[in-house]
Amino acid sequence: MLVQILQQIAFGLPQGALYGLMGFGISLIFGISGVTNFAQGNAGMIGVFVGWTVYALTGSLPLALLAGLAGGALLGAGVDRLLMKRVKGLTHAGMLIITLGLLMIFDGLALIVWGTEPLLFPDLFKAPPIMVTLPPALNPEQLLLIIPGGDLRTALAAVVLSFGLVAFFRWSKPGLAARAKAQDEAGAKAVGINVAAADTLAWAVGVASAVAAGFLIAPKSTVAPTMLINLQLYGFTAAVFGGFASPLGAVVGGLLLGVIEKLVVLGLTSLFAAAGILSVNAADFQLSVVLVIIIVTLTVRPTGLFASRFKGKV
Amino acid sequence: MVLETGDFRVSYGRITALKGVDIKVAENEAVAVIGANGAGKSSLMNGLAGIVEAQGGVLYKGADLSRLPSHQRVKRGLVLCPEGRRIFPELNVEENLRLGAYRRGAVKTGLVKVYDMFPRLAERRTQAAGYLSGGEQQMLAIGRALMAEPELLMLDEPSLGLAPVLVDQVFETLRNLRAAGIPILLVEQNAVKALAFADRAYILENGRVVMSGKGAELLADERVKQAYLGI
Repeated sequence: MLVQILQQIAFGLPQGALYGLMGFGISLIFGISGVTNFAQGNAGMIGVFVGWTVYALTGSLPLALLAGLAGGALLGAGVDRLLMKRVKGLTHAGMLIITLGLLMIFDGLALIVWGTEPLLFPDLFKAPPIMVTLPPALNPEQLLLIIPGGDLRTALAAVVLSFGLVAFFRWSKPGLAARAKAQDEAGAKAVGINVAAADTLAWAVGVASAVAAGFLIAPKSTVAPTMLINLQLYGFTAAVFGGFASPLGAVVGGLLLGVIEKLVVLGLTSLFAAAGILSVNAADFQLSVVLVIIIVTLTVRPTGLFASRFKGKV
Repeated sequence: MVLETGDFRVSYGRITALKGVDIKVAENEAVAVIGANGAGKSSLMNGLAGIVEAQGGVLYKGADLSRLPSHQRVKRGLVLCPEGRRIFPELNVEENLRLGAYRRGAVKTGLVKVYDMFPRLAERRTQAAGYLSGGEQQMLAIGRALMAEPELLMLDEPSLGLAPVLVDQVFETLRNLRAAGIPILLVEQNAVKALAFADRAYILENGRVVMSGKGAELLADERVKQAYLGI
């Protein structure tokens, strides 16, 4: 059993790292600008398409990544400056409808410009899987443990990026200013923080981080208009799980979510086998696990794992 | 003159909080604005700091600031210590102070000065500001404003919600600041303390200045006594 559990963790962590990166951007934008961005995945998708186009034109991967991330940052900043600043003070429902509208606009834009044909983007961290056999004492069945080498390297990149961005917002001067704005806007104005710029920074970095998640998942999802729809759902779950306004919580929540999801499926598989149920595949329940986690978190601990100590947003 | 307003007005939608106010603050002067709840005191301060929208002139050191955003005003040394302290609760004491010097002021020398003035803050420098007591939070708010090396320090109700002994401490601090040559514009509900402290004062009623004069004179005025001092 130990090998099976380790196996699921080895498969779950790489996915969780991407959930965390996606959740980071969602909770960053919410935490600082107060907007729940349902267009986060599709905004990231546009950035990936920009990167893909630059790659197709120049053949340079670094240039493509740079163009994609910069395009995402610009798109995020643009949404904040041209749209969100003009509808300031809207209700949560109003914001929801606006960002859902953006989701459709981005979707349509991608369809018109790039079409529906799935496009390929190079795997940044390709590596062969590593087979490990644990000693017989731990592993009586002598099962092979498969370490997905490429996925783990991709995950490492996602984790380093996520924690790097969390550290930036924790300790750098602009990051500190943005968090100060989130905690007390009048106080931030009083010390001379440009609060509009803090929002724009959150949007730019938030959307760029979704582009990064898109680049990392592209080898699996292909580059297509719907490529980040699923990852956005996971990102939202990670953010809710971790504490919606806490980017660090979202990153940790994502990692946990990736592992929990796999372990629940493993548990269900053995449960179904023991009960003699052969007609259902436990893996089909993977997405339901996510929704159950949202419901349970919101019921039991609505502030998430990393709640704010002094006030409850959401 | 450090500050001079002309027909200064603040409205929130259709409600007019400030209906044309002219006040002045000279170099080395401490000026108080007193008035009842809802007289427009905080609107005046937030309008001057650029935190809420306002109409009319704000002449600061000869330059018109009325169209500048709040951060540009801080950059010129017009610094507000806002009502209700408005510290950053999740950041620690030192991070709060560092942010005070976000737009202007030297962090290192500022920290030494503020910690020297409020040793209590030095003891708690790594604690989240939200865990401080009300009095400590007020010290932090004043300290944070001082980090920007203000050339005009505006304080909005610094004694609000504090125990009497702490109120005395706040006014002691203000006296020291004025002695150090920082012009002060103070808004207070505690009219006795404010008038005793200020060189000059304005009395605000329903968004207008209804009386002004030397602090000591107003303190002795019969009408002021009846309306604001409860004597």
